[in-house]
Amino acid sequence: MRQNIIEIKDISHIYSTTGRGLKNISFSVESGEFIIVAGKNGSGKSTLFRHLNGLLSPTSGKILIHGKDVSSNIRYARQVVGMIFQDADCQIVGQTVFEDAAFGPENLGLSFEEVNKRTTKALAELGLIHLKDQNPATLSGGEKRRLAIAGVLTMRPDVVVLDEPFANLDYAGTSELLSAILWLNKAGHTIILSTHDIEKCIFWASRMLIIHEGRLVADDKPQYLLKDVEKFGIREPCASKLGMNIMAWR
Amino acid sequence: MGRVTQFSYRKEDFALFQLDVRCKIICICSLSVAITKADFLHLFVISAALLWLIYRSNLKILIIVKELKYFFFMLFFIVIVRGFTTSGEPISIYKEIYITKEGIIDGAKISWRFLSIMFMGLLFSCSTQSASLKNAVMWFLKPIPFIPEKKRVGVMVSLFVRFLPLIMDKASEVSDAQKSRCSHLQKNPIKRIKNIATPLLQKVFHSADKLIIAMESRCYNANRPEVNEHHFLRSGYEEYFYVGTALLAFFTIFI
Repeated sequence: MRQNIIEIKDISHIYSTTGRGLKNISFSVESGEFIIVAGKNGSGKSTLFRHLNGLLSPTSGKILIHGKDVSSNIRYARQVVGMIFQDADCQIVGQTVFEDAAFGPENLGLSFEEVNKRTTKALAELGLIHLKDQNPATLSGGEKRRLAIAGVLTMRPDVVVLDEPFANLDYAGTSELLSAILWLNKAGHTIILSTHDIEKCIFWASRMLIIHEGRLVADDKPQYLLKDVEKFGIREPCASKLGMNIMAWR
Repeated sequence: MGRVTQFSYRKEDFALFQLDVRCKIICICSLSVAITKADFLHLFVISAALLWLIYRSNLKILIIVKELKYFFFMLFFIVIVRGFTTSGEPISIYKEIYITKEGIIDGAKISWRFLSIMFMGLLFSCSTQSASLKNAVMWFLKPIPFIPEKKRVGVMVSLFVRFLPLIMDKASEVSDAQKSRCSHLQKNPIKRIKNIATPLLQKVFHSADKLIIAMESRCYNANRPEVNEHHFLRSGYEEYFYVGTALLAFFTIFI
């Protein structure tokens, strides 16, 4: 039986400036799932994600990671839940690809040898090892996203959370990134991915959550929700519109 | 693909890039002091040495000139101001408007000194990793008793050097976006500066916010343990740089 990694219990978070945010959201995440969190811009997807590793605290409710409350175990939460942000450029810290990927395990206080071992392995797995001495600013969009994943993988997370990972990527970059995400899922990582364009990854998702105006309005297998997504400002995949079976995005 | 300015760190197979960062700091400080005493001949020799280092570092002079064009305007401004404010042999430039020959020479010398220091900064910035710089700052501050937060000072200095190229890159982006909307036709310099500064500051602060969140999500904190703390790698070229700098400084100050 699969076990729950994340349990979100009735969380709300209201921004005082806009009055928007999250309202009474509850769900749990099992190990090995591939979850799409869909919703139009401003629906609260990024706010929800920032609660998962303690970057934001809920106004009410609580989040448990492996049964531990995130608010009192922030370091643990950040190690277990790796976060990849939408803007790849703004999360690059290192001056070389290697230095950037090593940033997380260095923060964890690991030994020099362990940091080197983990970083080399993660860069090799994501096909970036030949670029290890390059300035990250010289990488393509797809390579930068893969570097962000490598930077998180070095911390050995159970869950990888990706906030709009395909934004601003060309076809080749999207394809490379999608392969990397599928590989992560196959390697046992739980994937939670937010998007307003579900076409690219719906085929592989085991579950879809729809967030609308800060509320969780649907939570089911993707095939059961496809016909309803347009009500919430999400485009229905072409194949579904044409009455065909969903195919893998290529 | 992002833009990389000539100030951005790069990895090159040249001695300067492998040099112990403490050696670089000592050389830069010594030469900077010497440059304050430098005359044209000294400046010529120092600039020749710096240009050779720039060439060996695979930096492109034309791109450097382009990236520093506002700095060159400032140097030109210094020359003009000195020309107007220094007493000496007057040269008429237009009807009753005079500048002095001594002022122009003095202004040119000051500008050349600034340019040499800028070139040293450029070489330092492109060849030094911020982590090494932080360690070096902490090493230099270690014997000084009245600075309690040496690590914080090191982090501040290294972050400044780390993000200077990024700020320049953002400035260039904002400038390009405005040029595409004919900002060059705006004649009022105050308005031009305001038009660039407002979006640039917004962009820089917004990026800084995002960066802080991304760093926090990877467990960053002020007391971050350093894997290579106080670890300096010697390349074996340090002695050559010390001797070269000492010779240049001696030549500039005493000859």
